[in-house]
Amino acid sequence: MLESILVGLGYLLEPATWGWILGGTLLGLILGIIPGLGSLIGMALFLPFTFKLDIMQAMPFMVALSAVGFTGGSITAILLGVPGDASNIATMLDGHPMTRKGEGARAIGAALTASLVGGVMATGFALIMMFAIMPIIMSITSREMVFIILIGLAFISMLGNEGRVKSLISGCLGLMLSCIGMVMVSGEVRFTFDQGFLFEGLPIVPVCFGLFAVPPMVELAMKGSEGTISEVSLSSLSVKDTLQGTWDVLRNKFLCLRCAVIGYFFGILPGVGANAAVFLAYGHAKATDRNPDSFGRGNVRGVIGPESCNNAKESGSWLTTFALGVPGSSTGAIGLGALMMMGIMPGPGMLTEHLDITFSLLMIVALANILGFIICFPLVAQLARIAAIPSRILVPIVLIFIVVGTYANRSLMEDIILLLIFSVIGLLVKRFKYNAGSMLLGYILGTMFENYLFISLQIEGITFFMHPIPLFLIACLILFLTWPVVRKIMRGGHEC
Amino acid sequence: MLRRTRENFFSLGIILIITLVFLYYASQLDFFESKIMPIFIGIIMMILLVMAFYNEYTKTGCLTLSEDENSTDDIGAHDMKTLKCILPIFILVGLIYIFGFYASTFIFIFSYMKISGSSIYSSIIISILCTAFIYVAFPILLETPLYTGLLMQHFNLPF
Repeated sequence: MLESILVGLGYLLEPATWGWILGGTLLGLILGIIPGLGSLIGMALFLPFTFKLDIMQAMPFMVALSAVGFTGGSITAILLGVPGDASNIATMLDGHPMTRKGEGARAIGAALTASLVGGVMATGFALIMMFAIMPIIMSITSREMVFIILIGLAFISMLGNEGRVKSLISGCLGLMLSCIGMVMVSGEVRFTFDQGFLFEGLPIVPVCFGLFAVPPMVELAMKGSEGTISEVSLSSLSVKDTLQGTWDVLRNKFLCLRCAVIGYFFGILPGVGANAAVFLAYGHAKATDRNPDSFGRGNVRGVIGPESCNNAKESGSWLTTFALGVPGSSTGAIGLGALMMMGIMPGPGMLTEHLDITFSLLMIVALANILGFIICFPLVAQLARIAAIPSRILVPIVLIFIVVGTYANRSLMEDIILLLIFSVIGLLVKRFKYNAGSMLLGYILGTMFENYLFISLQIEGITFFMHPIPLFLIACLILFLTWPVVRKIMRGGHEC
Repeated sequence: MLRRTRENFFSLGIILIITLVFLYYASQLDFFESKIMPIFIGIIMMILLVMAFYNEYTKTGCLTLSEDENSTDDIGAHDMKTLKCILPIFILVGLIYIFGFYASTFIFIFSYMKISGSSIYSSIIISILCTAFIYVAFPILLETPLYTGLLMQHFNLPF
């Protein structure tokens, strides 16, 4: 084992490896910053090149690219209100209001530092748990997944400032959207109105863009050149403000740690994905804040939690992909394909025959995060110039990228029609003060919940939950849902 | 206050209709496995809607008017302005269908900037740069060919 670790460290000392890591980090940041792209597209398009590359050339590039994609995405989410990736939506909820208040640099400083801390700490977790994680992962089955997703759905009520009922209604609308497409269990096509492009379900890109990207652009267009983004003063985006964001992370180090743990935990769970994890982290940051009403209006903890979480998730995701051969995320799935194309079968063999490679690739997640921080931190003022672009230039360019990005995802013109529909829905959600975040969470988790539920029912029948871990998760769920009442009772009913 | 209440009732009413249609279609599905989840969601939604209507009716819940609401006249003007500002997206999609991505990118950015008050030179330069970037980034670097449009396909033009 020690020999493998030393060989793995040897890979990391090679200048060529550093070149691939640097290339992947730069591309990941750039793709993350450009709305509509992101690390997923970058990885997918890099896949054909893996034919001609060695594993220690291709994989460091891909791992580094995926590790910092969210970091780049957080910059546009904070400054423009356009998430570079769906996982940056939670960051946008408070990061963009901070920009509007003239605290853009502080938000970016917090996001970069939280990303760095989350990514590095989670790599530490991954390395420590590399050998212990196998029995834990193997013990999680569909019956546990049902209740993990239910907890995620319960967190819907924590999102938004318009009250639990409206958040839950929004979540249910998202669950309705998740019902569109083919049912895995029966093979029946549902709510598609015979439209072939909906058979696989609603694609996430037009839904995300419609709900989260178009409404801010419309709002910016309405404000014209007097919009808040174009008014951002570059002088206020100083290094001092950025360091203030770093200080905020240090002050909230335990939140950062807890959210990294959440991200790591969700990362190792196959299929749950970053989106559920970041909203869980956001909900946790809100639930543990003394002033939860300030969330959505520019609370720095709303930036720290999701950013620590989404970078931490990557380490867990890659560990699951390598150790079990089960992708923990979409980027993990592409990485899995790349490994197979290079003739390496991911799975337990990666921890025995290729432990050196697994070790070095996990280390690369941390190194990419450090590089991403080093590249981004001194360039905050330059990156922040994006926010100073007049709205008359910014709006058409971003709209073009939204439309092109939507099309490029599946090369279907129908997706653009979906974008229009969800743009209108996004505006209506905003207009009537429902919660787009809850809707998206319901949409993401709905299909997964249904699939795991039916698998559990088919395997074990109606009593599938009568096992220790599901019962523990049910207890957690009940405690979460009844927590406001329990807290009120515990405090003697003095607090509403 | 009354305006806001009416709006809440209106939005809840729309969601109620959507839920009823959703439940109707769910009941028409062939397999039990296909319909159980939508019906379950529909029932949960109906319960939530009853709670929301009740909250609204009694004015003690979360749907009451917040203090920073706009006045009635402002809300109407705001809605009209929103409609006006979302129109360019529909125009852009129409342009893409006819002219494809490249020509539409140029036409859309140039027109938008010119109408918004930019100079003709900056409008042309930024439009050309954006079109070139999209051409280089998507079909060349990312190897994602973009839709060329009905007109271009009809005349068999290169873009």
